[in-house]
Amino acid sequence: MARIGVFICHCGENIARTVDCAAVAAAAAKMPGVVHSADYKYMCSDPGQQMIRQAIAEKKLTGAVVGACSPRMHEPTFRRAAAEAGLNPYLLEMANLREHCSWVHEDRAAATAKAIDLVRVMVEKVKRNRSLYPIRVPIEPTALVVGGGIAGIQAALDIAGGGKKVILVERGPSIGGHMARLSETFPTLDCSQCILTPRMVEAASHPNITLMTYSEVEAVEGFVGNFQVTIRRKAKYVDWSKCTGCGDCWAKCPARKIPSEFDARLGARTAIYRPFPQAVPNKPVIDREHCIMLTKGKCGACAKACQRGAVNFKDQDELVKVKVGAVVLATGFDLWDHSAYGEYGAGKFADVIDGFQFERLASASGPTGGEIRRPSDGQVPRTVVFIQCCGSRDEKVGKAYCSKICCMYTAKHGMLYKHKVHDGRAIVFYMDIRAAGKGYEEFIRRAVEADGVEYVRGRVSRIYRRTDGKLIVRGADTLAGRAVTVEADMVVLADAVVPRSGGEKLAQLFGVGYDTDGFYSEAHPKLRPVETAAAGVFLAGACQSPKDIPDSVAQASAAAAKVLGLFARPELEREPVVARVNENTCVHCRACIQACPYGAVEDHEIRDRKGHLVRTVARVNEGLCQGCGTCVAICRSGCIDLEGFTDEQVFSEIATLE
Amino acid sequence: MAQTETKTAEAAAAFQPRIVAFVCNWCTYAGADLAGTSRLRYPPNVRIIKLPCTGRIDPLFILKAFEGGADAVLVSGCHPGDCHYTSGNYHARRRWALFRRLLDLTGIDERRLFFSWVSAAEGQKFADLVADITEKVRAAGPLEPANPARRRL
Amino acid sequence: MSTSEAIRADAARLLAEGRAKLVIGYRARGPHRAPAFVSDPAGVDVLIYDNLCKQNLAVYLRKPEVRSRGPVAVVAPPAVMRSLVVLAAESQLTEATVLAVGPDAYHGVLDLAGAAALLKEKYADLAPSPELLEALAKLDAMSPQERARFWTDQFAKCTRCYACRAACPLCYCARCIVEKNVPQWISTAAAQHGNFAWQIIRAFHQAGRCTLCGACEAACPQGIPLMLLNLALSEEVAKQFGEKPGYDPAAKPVIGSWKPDDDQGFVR
Repeated sequence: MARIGVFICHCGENIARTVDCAAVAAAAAKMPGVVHSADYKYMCSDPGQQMIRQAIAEKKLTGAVVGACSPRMHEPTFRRAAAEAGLNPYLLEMANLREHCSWVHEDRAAATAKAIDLVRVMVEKVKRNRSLYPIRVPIEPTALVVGGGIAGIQAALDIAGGGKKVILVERGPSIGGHMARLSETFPTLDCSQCILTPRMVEAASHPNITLMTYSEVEAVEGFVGNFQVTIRRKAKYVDWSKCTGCGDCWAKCPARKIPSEFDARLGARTAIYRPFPQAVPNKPVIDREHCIMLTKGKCGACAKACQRGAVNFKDQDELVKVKVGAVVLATGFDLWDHSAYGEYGAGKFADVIDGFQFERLASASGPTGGEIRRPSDGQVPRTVVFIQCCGSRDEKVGKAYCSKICCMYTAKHGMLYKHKVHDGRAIVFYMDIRAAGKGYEEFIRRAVEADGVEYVRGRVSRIYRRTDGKLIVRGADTLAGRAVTVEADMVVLADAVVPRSGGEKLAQLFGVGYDTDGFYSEAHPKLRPVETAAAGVFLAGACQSPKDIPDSVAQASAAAAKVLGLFARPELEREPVVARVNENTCVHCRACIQACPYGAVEDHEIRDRKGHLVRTVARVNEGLCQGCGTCVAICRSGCIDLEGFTDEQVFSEIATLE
Repeated sequence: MAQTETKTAEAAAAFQPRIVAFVCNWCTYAGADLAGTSRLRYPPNVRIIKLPCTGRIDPLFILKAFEGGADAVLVSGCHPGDCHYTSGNYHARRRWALFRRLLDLTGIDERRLFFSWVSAAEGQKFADLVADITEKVRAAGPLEPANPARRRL
Repeated sequence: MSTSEAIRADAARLLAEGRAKLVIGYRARGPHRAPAFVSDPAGVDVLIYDNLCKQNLAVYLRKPEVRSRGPVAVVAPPAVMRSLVVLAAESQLTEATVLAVGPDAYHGVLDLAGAAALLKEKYADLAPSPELLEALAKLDAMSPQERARFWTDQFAKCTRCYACRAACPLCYCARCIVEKNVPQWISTAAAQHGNFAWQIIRAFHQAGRCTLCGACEAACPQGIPLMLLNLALSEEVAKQFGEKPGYDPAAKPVIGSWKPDDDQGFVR
């Protein structure tokens, strides 16, 4: 038999002014199952809580209702008090007599009648409450970081520095990401490699970090604290345990004209290659699409050159399974393909280049040794036009969003050009200058005032090539209100920042949402910026939205802090408000499985003792379930229920209002 | 004539509609809390039943409320895109779109069944909403005796 | 060769070759048509097909006593094929063998993919009868009180025999919600509130799934116009979500999926 206690709070005058608390308590005393009913000035005070504890103990209560403020205010307080008196905290409910009643009504009789109703509803509900216990999930204290750019490296180093193991997976042959390709960085103009390469080496040599380059995530199972991730280690065709990185192999490789991805196709590489001299690990892989031996079956020049016998043409992809407790996605960005802009030459003019190509031209380690020479004929361009917002803020052809980093790097490009070609002209076409950041506005001013970069506010309508090779740039100067034509030797387009290719597939593997542009969705745009809807999966860097280096590093450290916070305890404790399937009546129509926002409802095979499949049903993974109850309402035959908000509880609440 | 009109008006004023509201915990319940903390005023005709999410609200709940004699039902949750559980409200929206058609066809029309998005910041919207639907239901009069769902023993 | 003869020939061949252990089709019983269960090639002569064959034979395919017989082939007009496609989309079937018939032609033996392709090609626009459309329009033109009265009178006839449920291939739940008694959402008494709740929920549970085959209404011994409810929901599903169930075996459930731009004009 239910033995319910009801405790009506006056909240000083806040409730009592409009609601006759004594009358509510008296009415509650007559409700079926109520064995104790009291009202008190401040139920949340120490004496008030003591009343509750005492009644629980003395009257052997099986449930309690506190009619007071909003449960959002004091439910934890009163549930703690119940627990202290030995009553399962989930056997206490609150009736909201303040925010939902006394504060919004004036008529005392009507407010009191409503208060009695609200208490009655909760009394009927609490009779059907069950003791619930937090769900404990063990945590594997190893993190997986996907993406070896600056964000991934930073996250890995921070987690490793916190004493936890990290597996850092990178798709390419080296970590370093886009940052390794940059010449100098805004707003300080420090050399990108000089600040990055020590981090790369530290990541590779850190005892807590396992580096898996030339690898990709293939499959994901499990949930927060317990992910099983399958990683494909692509065949490198070089046994790195034997390789010393001496370079004899690539010196001998006859396939020498493969466009270098690292140099943004401005330079060439061999088929057996390391992407750049400071690569980490500093060992080569064979690009199987271009290797003559692997495509045509003869060559083997590298194998002959290798004194250690490290080249192995029979190498194969390998699938590695790892167990991790948390994941940081740091897959970064690409540049938007500006060939969609027919008016800018549709990508056909060699001297209309993108930002990365300019970075490589300006880099001391680049294909021109740091001299600005245009791709078509190697001449030093005397006039360079930079066009901002190429694809950004263009809903029709490109992307609706602002790519955030282009204003700053374009100013930097102008400066670098002027530093290298003193008598050259750098002209920037822009829509707006967005330089919000520490030292950013000053940097723009420096480009204009100290370095003489010319800024023209307006859009470029067309670029075409004259027979003498000059690029004619036609645009508008909207401040001066006139058309502008520039004879340029080279044009640099600040292409929009887009997420890395293949990002959607990876997001689906981890159950992470992404927006229409493919950027990963954070769990809350303001309050949970590094978490995702998938518990235990965090975001770092430009995979979430366009970001510069400081923002990426900051978010990476934030993600690392979240991971370390998760790993600080051996077990994960979760609210027991989860859905459960009655497997006896489930017919496996899969509506719940399709509807669950978290992928928490799974196919479960029921097998007999011999292992034969009897039937398949839906089953809720408690580690993933967040307790929304969408599956419950979807189930036609009422086979699923939600702890804390069961059908029985809701039914009796509604029935009480009859 | 004038006398009859006064009587009708008095009857309408005396009629206290019974309205059952099913709301989600994260947005509308919190919005109703904000109406309280802002000391806004609205009629005392609504009884709120709290669910974690509009996704949890089964059409059976609405039927049960009408069966028990509710004059109207309000269902309210987070605005699209704001769902605490990312998409529970989108699922709910589809169910409502179809269920309201079914109830309308069987005689429980749009003056009896209300849907709204009220965020945790919209205390004023909640107060206005309750005032407005209470007025509308009062104008429509009691659902009885034409309530096709009503329990009769 | 008439359609009936062609069905008999194919049925005999499927049974003889062992591709089917049981063929479910129609046979004559006086002026009516009844289901026929043929397991012997010699027995195919009872099979007929004409425009009186209305029962949705897909309903038998989930029955254990049918399933235990081995592979089954079923005589399937478009409505039956659509039911099979929905069953496949809801993981209740993985494969099917149908003797596909149309109002105008016999299409031979098809598997599920073949049936889906045929439906899309030839039977994409199966319109409800003009009488039904007219009856719904008439109902919609009434006042809410009149509609409530109409349905109160109709549902008052319901004896809760559940023939509607038994006739429907999509009512395959192992335990129907009406039989769930903790809590008892829907009263099982044949009284107003239970009848209303039952009929509303029965129709709603078909929303986005019903193929308008008409089996429920045909089975109702009390002549309750259930198709009005089904049609209203089907129209709404097509209008609001652009969905027409029973054409795509990989379709996601209409209730159980969503689009960000689903209509919300009714939400304040």
